[in-house]
Amino acid sequence: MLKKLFGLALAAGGAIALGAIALHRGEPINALWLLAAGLCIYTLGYRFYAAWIAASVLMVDRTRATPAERLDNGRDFHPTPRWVVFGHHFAAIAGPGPLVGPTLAAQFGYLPGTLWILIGSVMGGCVQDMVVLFASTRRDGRTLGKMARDELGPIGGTAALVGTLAIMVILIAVLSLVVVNAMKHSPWATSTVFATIPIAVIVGIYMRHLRPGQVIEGSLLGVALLIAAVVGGGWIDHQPSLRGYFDYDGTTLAWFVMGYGFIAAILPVWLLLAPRDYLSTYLKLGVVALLAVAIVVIHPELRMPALTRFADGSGPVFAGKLFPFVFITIACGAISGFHALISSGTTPKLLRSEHDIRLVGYGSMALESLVAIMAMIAATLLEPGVYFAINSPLAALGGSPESVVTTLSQWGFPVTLETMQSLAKQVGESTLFARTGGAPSLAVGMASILSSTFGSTMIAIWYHFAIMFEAIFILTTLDAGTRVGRFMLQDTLGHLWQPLGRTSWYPSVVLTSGLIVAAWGYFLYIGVTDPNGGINILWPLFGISNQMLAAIALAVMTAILLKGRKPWHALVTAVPLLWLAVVTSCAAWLKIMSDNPKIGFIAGARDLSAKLAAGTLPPEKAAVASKLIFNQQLDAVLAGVFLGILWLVIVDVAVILVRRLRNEPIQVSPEASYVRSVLPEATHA
Amino acid sequence: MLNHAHLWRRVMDFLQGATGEGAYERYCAHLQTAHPDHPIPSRADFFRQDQHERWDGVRRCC
Repeated sequence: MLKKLFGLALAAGGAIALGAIALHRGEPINALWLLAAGLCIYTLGYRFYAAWIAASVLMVDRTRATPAERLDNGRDFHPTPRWVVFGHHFAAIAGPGPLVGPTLAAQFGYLPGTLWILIGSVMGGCVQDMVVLFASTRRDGRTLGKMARDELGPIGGTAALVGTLAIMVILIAVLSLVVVNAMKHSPWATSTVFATIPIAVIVGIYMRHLRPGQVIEGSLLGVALLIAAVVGGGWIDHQPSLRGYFDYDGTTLAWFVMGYGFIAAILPVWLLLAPRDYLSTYLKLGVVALLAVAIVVIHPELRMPALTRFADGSGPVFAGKLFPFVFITIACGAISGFHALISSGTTPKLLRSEHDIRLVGYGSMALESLVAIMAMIAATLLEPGVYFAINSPLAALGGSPESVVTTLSQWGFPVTLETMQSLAKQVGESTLFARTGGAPSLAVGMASILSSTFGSTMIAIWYHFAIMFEAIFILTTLDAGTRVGRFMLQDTLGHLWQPLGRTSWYPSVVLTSGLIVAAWGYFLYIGVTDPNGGINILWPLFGISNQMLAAIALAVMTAILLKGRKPWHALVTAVPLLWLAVVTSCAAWLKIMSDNPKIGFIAGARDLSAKLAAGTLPPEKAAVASKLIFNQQLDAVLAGVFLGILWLVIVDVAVILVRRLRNEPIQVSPEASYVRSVLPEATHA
Repeated sequence: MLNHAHLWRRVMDFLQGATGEGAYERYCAHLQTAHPDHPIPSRADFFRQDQHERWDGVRRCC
């Protein structure tokens, strides 16, 4: 009874919050409404939808021994308390994606992005993570790729492999571009980000040689050093003799990042990757908590309208209409295909009981989605004119800061050169114009919230703290992604020539790491040289590839559920699958075929060739035009490949559906057989 | 009344579990019960091995 009342209260709270969001049109709305709507909706989803899925669709069985219990080896397979598993899983799935996506999608206003973050996660993303976690737990922690091969056959399996490699390359390229754009001509940001590398190495040596295994101690030391680095960066910025060493243009920084990525991938993990990952995890949890407290304390009003005129596709941050691009842009904050790789393989080996699947799978994604809501708040509390001036490439708005402020003011988002100048001075930067990629505008938003809660004189410190915070886990994704790409490539090349498959043979390590870095480095380099900012091309491509991977995961899960006792239960994953298929296909199709040169890759390439032939391009653009033309054609091919993979997998599932409807025999997926758990939870239940 | 010592213990247990700090003690305990004849590795060796295995696959997302 009490539970029902609680549920009703939540439903009412959620309805009131959403109603307030929807009805507050034309006047500023308080950020707390967004937070309240989020909390109510996630709790409702968790208590009712997820509970129903766990009990009726998956039929989780707390008496059944999990792989962690049956295969316990004291290491990767080990029954672990549920909140610890939750912590591990959340740290693994939470990355920079949910911070960047909502920031970019804020160009449509706060409403479309927020609605999709809420609905997409509760009905799609959380469900995907939970069902994949369940399926992998029942199969001894099998990976998504293996399950795809088991359920859909070799084509589905290969599709998952190619999809993972492609998403990795695009992901690293776009995230590196975000970091490069934040460091461009900013000695403070650059010196701070550079300093994170020796700090990680110090922590690595500390944890391996000085105090082996003292992880908490080492991490605290590292966090203290990082904060010192932020302050030290400010000092360097004020030394005319020093700041020159850290003042670089985008292209130079792109080469630095590539060199760094290569070295990091061939160094042993304990020296750089593992210690930095500890630091980024601590920072991530700390900043999320800090931000939540700060939003509640200062409860800022959102200055961005609910819906902007850019829903028609004319937005300067990225081109494309609300449908389908808001879904592709938000990506990770609502549904992320990448999570399926974590939910299968690593996490299932830790679960103590099947009962924990709802908390770990559904709950972690709900929290991740709440982070996306906070990123949306940080972006939309800025003056809209300021938001657009930071996030739009100069070329999209006339080519100079003057033309940017005039155009934006004419469009009804007033902003002046003086405002931008004084804001840049406050945060300790020379300029904030055209710092595309979302990180700087998020940092301005976060700095303004945090500084008014925890010390207003320190806005420049908070800004660079936020930049360092984003950079540190973007660099972790970069290292970890390059390494995974290398393993996958070595695995594939090993079939051609056996020694290449040996993961510890140095020539092979160098060769395959170099190939992976070259692949993402190419997209990064083109992105940096592109006068339109590169984000406009790379982020939608990343969104499409990530949603395609989610569709593959949902397709495999749909196939598993279709083979179960009640095939209609497959709707739980089939509905988000269909929606993703529609959205991703529309977006990929538009990116390839649209006549608008800002949206369509082919039209963009044609438009540029025509201008190049007519000689109407300014010299700096003409110099890179042929590269940009080739790149747009390559992007069109890539988007086509993603589309092809997506539909191959969907056809595979459709075949299973038809066989099921006709009562023809289908291959039943191999679940590990039932063993009764002897852990106390299971016997007391 | 809230038992502070108890609460602190639980917080530290959580942190050690979440960071993997207690992993060595846990592994030793596992070896002693499951494979008593197996030699026990040193703390440094264990963490070396553990870290190597931990990063041998997809461990971090976007």
